[in-house]
Amino acid sequence: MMEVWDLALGILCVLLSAFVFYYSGTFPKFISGDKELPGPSFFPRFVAIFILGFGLFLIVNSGLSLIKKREKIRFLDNLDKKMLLKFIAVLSTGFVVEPVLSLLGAVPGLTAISVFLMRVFRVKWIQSLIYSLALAVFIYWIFRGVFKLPLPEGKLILLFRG
Amino acid sequence: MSYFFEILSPDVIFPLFLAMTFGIFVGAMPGLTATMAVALIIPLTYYMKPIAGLAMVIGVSFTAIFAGDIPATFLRIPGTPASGAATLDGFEMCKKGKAQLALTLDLFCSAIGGIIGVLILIMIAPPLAKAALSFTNFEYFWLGIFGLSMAAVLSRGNTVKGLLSALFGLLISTIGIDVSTGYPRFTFGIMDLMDGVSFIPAMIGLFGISEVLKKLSLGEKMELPSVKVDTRLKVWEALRTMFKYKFIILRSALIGTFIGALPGSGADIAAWVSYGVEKNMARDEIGTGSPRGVIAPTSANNAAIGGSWIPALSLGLPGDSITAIVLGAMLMYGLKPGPLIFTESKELVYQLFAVAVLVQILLLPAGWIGIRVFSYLVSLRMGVVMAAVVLFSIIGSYALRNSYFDVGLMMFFGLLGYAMERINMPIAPMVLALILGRMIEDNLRVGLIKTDGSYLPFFTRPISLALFIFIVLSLAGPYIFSFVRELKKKASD
Repeated sequence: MMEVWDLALGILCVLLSAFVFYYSGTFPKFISGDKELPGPSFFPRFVAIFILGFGLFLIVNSGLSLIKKREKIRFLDNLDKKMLLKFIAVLSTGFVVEPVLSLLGAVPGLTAISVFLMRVFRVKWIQSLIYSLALAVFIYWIFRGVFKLPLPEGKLILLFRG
Repeated sequence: MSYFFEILSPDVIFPLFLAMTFGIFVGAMPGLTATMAVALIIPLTYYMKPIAGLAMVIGVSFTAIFAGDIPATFLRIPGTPASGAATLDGFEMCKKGKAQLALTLDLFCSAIGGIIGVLILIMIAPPLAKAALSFTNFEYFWLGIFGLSMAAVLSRGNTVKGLLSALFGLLISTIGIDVSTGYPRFTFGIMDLMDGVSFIPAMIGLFGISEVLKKLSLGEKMELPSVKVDTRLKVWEALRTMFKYKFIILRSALIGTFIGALPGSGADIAAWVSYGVEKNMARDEIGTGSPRGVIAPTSANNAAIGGSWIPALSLGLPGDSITAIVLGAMLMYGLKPGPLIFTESKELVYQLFAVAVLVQILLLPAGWIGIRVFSYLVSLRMGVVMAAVVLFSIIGSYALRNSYFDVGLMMFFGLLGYAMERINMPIAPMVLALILGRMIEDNLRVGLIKTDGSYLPFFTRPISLALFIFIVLSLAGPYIFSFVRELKKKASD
């Protein structure tokens, strides 16, 4: 199975280096007097050459190994739908955090996100509520109270305060 | 000595105490790593004075590495990767009813190993930094490459993937405004990327979120077995045992410091190597619940932390992922790690040394508390701990610049870190490359400008040539050795 992933990684490397070469072509040249000096595209291209080399090595190496084993190329054999949903749930918190915190404020917002996460991790409702509230208050105390780091106030809280 | 008293102020001691408590919690919780602890604590240090912030980092790293030995002894599950080697004999001692002795040895040897590592750091770093003052762009370019190649060779996974991980890191480090021309590279019009990829959210994602995703993929195996913990320490018996094995402590601490000082290695490799050395010397004894098998890795892993600070402070070259994050934090505080730090921020460096010694002393009471609260820690549901890690990651990434973009970035790196681990691609080289990328690029470009585009001086100056040869040997060495071994085998057949 690892050879399949290596093959995919190799293809990704080739595509990535091709993209770097193409995109860095739009960068301006760095000319001083009549000399052309190593400009903004120099180092990305320098790195891309090595990525291309290793990518090709991985393709040849894993390709040969796959041919020897005569394995079918199946990338998503072990994909568990439940696990995928949980992954999406965890990663989505990074994107819902802005509307939730700016609407509810730090403590209620963090409590809500935490309850959601704990439910994803299969913690019971009551436990997740208690732990989440304690965790949110603790985080607020540490960041805002002890270390004086700014956290969002929340539109609803501000509305209540008038 | 005056530096020692300077750090005994509440604005350093209180954060240090908090960090050590946090280190105990993270270290003793299987699945959470010392690197993750450091990455999560950095955002808290943003508005603090640098010595207080660095004290927190030092405190959390030493305590987490020790605390990892607690579940290793009781549950046969290393709390952090650095405790992997201590698991073998520690758990065997636990089965024989000697868990308290094993943990007391762990605690004392961690503190002694840590002190030896720190003392070597104090002795070696200043003269090394002085020598490095004569380095030019050519040497610095190769030093950066040396750091990355060592990281690739020493990391888990294979060397090719390690090198690729470093190359990806270098490529990511080019994102943002090019210093020479002011042209934005690979920013795609996103203003938040103009200053480059924010390092701390990237680290939090790579070490925090990726760990949560890894735990999720384990599914039902997330809960820990319940355990009854006898927390009485066997001080006198441990002291007697340590006196008997005093040379093993010294040898392991020296090995640990040396390996820690190699860029890209770390406490886990140091622990395994010193364990291997003892196993070679006493094959029948080690692995059967011998105190020797506990003393060696625990002395080495804490000594390695001191060792990893040697290249970090004197050359600006991270010894492991933890010091890579520390170097990122130093840049965040406006400090310049490398030889100049010993002249520009001399006082801070010596305060740092004093903090490192103080942490070893405080490790004894902190470690004892850690052992006592361990049974409560393992009774926590892993789901609660994981949710806490995600929340800390979110707020930590946000609080640095009040930026939700950084939260998204952190999640992206979390997914990337998980994917890399799935395909056996080590994360450490990428982390080092993110830190060293700018240094490598600047020195390569300036070097080429100085030589009118000629690469020759990169290979002809004595130190540059020596570093280049060393890099080639370290990369090709294992293949050459196995080739020669095969040839010999064929010849003998």
